Amino acid sequence: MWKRLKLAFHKLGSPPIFYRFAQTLIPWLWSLTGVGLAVGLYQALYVVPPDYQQGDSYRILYVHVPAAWQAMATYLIMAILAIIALVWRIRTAEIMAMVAAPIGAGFTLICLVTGAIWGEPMWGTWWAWDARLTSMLILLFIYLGIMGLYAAFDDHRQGAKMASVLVLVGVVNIPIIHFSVDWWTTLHQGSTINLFGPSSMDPTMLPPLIWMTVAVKFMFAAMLLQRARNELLAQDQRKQWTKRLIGDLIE
Amino acid sequence: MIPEFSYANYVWSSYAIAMAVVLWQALGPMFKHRRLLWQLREDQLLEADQGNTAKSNHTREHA
Amino acid sequence: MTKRHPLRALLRQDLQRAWQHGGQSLLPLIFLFAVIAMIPLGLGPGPNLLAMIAPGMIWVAALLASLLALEGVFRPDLDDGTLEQWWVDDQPVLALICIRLGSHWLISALPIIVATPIAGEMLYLPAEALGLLMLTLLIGTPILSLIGALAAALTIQARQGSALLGLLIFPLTVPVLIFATGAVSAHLDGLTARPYVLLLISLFVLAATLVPLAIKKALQLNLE
Repeated sequence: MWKRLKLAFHKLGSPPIFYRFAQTLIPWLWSLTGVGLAVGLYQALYVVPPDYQQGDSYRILYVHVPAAWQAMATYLIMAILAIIALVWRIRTAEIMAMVAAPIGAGFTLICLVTGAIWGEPMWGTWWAWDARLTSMLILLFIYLGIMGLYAAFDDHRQGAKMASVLVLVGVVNIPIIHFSVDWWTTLHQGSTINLFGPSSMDPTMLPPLIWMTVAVKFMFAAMLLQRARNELLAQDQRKQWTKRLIGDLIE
Repeated sequence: MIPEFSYANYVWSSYAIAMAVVLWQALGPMFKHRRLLWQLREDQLLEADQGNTAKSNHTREHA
Repeated sequence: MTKRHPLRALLRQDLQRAWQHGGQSLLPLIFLFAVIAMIPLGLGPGPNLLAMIAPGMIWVAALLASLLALEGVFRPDLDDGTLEQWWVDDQPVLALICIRLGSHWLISALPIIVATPIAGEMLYLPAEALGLLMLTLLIGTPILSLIGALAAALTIQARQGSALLGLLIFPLTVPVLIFATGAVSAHLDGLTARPYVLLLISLFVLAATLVPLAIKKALQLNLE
């Protein structure tokens, strides 16, 4: 079992095999995403009753929370890929780590915007320096920094290595940032209503959240493979395997 | 069909913006993939064409 | 002593360079006072407001000033091949990096710490907060040098590296800024500043142990 896993791991390091793997997996991942979203959205919008305090505004949570979780999970996945890239120098891992950054930035953006929209009726202001929103804003800057660093090198592999080091520095730093911002907000303001509803989340409100979260996981996987496939193709334009691939396509 | 919500504007605009970002993230790479394949195909056809003319020139010189 | 020790040689060379370009090493100071002068001009000279924001403003000035000198931390050595020599000659790279960091701190942060009493006076900083502010600067600015040098090492060969520097550095320095200014405002509110100072010290210890390793890795990757 372990041997076969190791073999599969090695095989995915080879660009043509990875490309074919992505090609077959992407439609499946999108289908699963579609099913999850359909069920999740139906439950979130039709099945669950309005909250007695927040009215229907809490339905924003079904977008906001999965996006926030995915924004953070993406960073973790990116960090694991960065370690693989730096230690074993596997190019497909390098590429996946780098294309994860814009996807993570996208989820962070969704989290920030929906948080602001939720804040307007609840806090009476679009932006509050709430601990979670502030941490998310900083996370967005970190994602942008990684993307910027990767893009600033003509040599893609060089850029990916530098950005991978930055990713790992971020892994150590993000929990500290989170902690410090938490500390900072408890000092500067009293407690506010929390978007995550810590106290009384009715169990009937939970299923749509689970469906949406799972759907977002599959969505992320599909997006990651899509982008990695493109990046491989673009970087390997002159390589033999792309030529053969295109040759097959022409026939 | 469309449920009546309190704070309807807020709810719907959140969902719409999230959907827009997701679509942009999903469709952008999809179109880029098609464009890449197409462009690579063009390059290869062009190259093959040039290769052929070069070969024919070569034979002509020999003749 | 005929053969010069590489570490001492580097330290001497760095300090000489800073001394020779005297004007350049005054840059952080000029920068600090430029920022200090702009604040009352922008916000009005009300003593209460100025006193309230003084610690934060001096900290932000220190953060910006540490950016100024980063360009020169590794770039010249990469260009003239010195960096490659570090590895070729099997020199103690980590120690050399630490020396380089130390000289960056001496040039960019020390003048600001020394000038803080004057800057504080200009912003009506309450006298009882001055010592604490200087203490947080003393602990915190080395962390800024560490993070800044890491960003510099990552961007040496990047296009528009200096524009990237800020984007890379600011998110990473958020905790330093929060704990340092938090210490001063806690003290001014009559609370104890101890936990903040302790947190700042632990940040420094963490950064001082991990960041040099990351810098070494980044420089090594640059040479490949």
